Amino acid sequence: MTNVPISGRRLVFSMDLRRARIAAALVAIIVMALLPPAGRAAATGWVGDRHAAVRLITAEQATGAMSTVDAGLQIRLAPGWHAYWRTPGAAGIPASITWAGSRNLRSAALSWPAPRRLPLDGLQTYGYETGVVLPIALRLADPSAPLILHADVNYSACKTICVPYHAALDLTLPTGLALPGPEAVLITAARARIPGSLAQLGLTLREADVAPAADGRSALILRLAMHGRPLVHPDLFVEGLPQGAPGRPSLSPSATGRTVTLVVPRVHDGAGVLAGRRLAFTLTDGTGGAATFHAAPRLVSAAARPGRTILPLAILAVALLGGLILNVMPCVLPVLSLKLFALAGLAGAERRRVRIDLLATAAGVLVGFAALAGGLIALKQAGAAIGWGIQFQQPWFLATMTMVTVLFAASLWGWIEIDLPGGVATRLGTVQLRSHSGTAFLTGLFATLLAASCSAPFVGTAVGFALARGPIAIMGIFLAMGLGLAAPYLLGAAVPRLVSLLPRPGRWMLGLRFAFGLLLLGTALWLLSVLVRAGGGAQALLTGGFAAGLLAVLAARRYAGLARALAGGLAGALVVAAVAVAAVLPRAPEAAARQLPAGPWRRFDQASISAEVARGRIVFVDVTAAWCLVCKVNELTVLDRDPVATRLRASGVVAMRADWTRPSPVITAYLQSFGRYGVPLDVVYGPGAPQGVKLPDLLTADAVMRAFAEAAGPPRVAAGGTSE
Amino acid sequence: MVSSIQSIGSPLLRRIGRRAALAGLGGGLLSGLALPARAGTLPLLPAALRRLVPPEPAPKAPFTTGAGQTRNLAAWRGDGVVLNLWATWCLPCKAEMPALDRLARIVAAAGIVVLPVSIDTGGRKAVVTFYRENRIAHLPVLLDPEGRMVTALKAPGVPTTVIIDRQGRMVGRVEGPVQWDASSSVALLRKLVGAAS
Repeated sequence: MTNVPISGRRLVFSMDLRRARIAAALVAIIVMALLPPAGRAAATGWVGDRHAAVRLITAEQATGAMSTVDAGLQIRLAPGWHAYWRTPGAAGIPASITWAGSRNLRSAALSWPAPRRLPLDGLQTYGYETGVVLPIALRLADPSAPLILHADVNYSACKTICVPYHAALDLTLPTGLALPGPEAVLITAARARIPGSLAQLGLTLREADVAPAADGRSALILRLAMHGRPLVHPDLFVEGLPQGAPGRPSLSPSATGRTVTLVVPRVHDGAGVLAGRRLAFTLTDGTGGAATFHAAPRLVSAAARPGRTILPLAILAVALLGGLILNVMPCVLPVLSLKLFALAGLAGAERRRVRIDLLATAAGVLVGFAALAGGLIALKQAGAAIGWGIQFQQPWFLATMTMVTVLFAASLWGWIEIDLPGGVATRLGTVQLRSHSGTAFLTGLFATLLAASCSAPFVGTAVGFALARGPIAIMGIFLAMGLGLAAPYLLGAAVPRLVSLLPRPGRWMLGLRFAFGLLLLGTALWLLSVLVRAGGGAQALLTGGFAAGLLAVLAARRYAGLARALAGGLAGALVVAAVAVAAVLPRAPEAAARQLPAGPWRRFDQASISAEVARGRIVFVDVTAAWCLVCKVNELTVLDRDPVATRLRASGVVAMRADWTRPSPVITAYLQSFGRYGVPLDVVYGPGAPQGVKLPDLLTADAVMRAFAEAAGPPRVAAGGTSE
Repeated sequence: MVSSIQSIGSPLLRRIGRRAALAGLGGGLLSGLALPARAGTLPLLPAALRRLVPPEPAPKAPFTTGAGQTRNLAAWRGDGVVLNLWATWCLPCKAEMPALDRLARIVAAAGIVVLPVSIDTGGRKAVVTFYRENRIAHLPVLLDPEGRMVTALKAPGVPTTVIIDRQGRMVGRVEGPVQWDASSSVALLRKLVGAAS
């Protein structure tokens, strides 16, 4: 430093001054940082922890000589944490504020944006995820004086554990120009989410009833007339119940589509308690808005519940047809047709026995379908997410049915001595009946089980229709399907002469059995392909390995010498290889699910639909599943061909695919919001149809293009109050 | 075809065939179950438990019974204790209560007690009403409205459960609800608590 020339010394001096300025600035920053966070007009600091915190915000930065101030309580929540609505449901502490210690405050009114449903293990709570602003309307006693707020806030926030929070918030609003603060936009957005009136949603309440249900519970039934757009994803929250915290309502549109009936099942309180009691209902419709209304439900008998309406004959016919077609599906065909051929050999001589046998088989089929219907009814009452095809979402079902079909293929090829169901034994090309009616009954039952592992056209439509309705409808439609499946046998029982017209079993049966075995093997391969998508590649490999190993073992038994040795070696190698590869494969069924679908298809993202529509785009949603034949038909004939294919790839069109191959509560809820319980479902959204245009099950290019045109057109103006 | 098998094969081979079929079916079922997806039930204890190694001394904080008497954990020395902090406003607590009730019935004979301690400010009335509405039959009414046990255990929230062995030491801790009555949960609990003396 001493060697620096004079100019350098001056430099040193100015560096000293700069250092001093820097130091002063640092000190100022440190002091300001250490100062307690003062309630800057328009927002207090956050009080809480990293999971949940609150602060008080105001829309303006000063009182502006007005007697009201728009304020809000903002709750910030970490991912996975939630806070509660004013009626929390089964458990929870909603935010409550006391204002003792405030000055110049005459009143404070807290409002609640529309809640979301937060279930846990069957228990229902209602609240908010990721955060919420609760708007507060403050009234001043003296508009010309500043407003000094002291708020004591109590609330609970939960993820896997629940934490009670308390926060003391202080905010002073000075007098002065009421410039909007940066938090004003938060409060405005929150006010927009407060439920409005039914009329604003284009709805009128026609009826509110309560009917007794099992176990001393009750069901609330609301009938709403829709004047404008139809409800898309309605959910209903009930307040004023002494005990209940009910689950999602079911949705039944009327035949004309102008009214919709919402049924809240299994409300904990009895019908007698709720009749005449004034309840508050909050209806939300996804992004479509929310409304709160009051009603005192009338007591009605259980028979008045919807779902007991007369079934349209058309759906019963569809169910019958579906059942008939099931007869020729590759999984059912071998078992039942062999049965018929066995009987052909007997006809003439033992007509009576033929009759009884066929009747017993038909009875087995009907009982099997009744049992299926009963199971689905029970699941639906329990509130489980059901739909046709859920059996294909369960890996254990697919694996078991693969093994069963492989075993029967082996038995058809004579590799194993299992008596085919119904006591049909195959010897040297003849088919003999060795059963009595008990076994015949079991054949019918077994055929139903196999039918459930095939999908067939019309079955999906009929069942989807049934599941949207009540127990009587479900049972009726399933019995109609059973009748369709049992039709050939009922016919044979009625006219045994027809059976004697069938060709007598002979050596040609060997060829037929070989072909049937191949059919069953084909079914097994198809089931494995569904298993890849539903359970992951590792699982499918394991099952496929077992199946192939089993086949090889059985083949080894059948053949002698070199063939046996080869087959035995192959069996061992296959099983070991399958297990090894399955163990090494990265177990990532989730990764497979995360793969983007090919072509123009994006992953289904319900939340972004309204954003895209707001940008003027058209959104085409296709809900599909690996096992769904009608979906494949739609793809091949309409979606992958012009003109629809080009339209889907156009800019301004977003194509989304929702894959229901695996259980997905989100997709199940989406299906149910349209009153559907199965796939396929295709919906077109656009500026002209923000709530979506539902397309028919079996698509035609015309229908799709018309829906595109409607969605692209101008928004429809809500019609006046036309009644049903 | 079948008769040729009969002549070639011995009854042993026939049995092998049937066993092969059964094995195949079993294998198929097992492979379906081998990589199961979790359903919506509560977590199991082996997954949710955080072992305390070495074990820590149990807290000495007192709590009151429904009859108004003051107790602390020393009264249960010699028994295993499942101490569960909960509240009626806590949904996960409510979800696991039936399982805790069933657990109490299952392990009573083994000398393991379940002590749910409620931190409700509403006190006895809130707990008794809750037990009645949810048909809880095997659990005592224990209260800690001032939250002394919460402080002693440094619990971040409810439900928080600690497992105490027969020597009065905390051997495990869970934050969140558990499927207490599942067989794997009960088995782990018995192991943690130790054999009856």
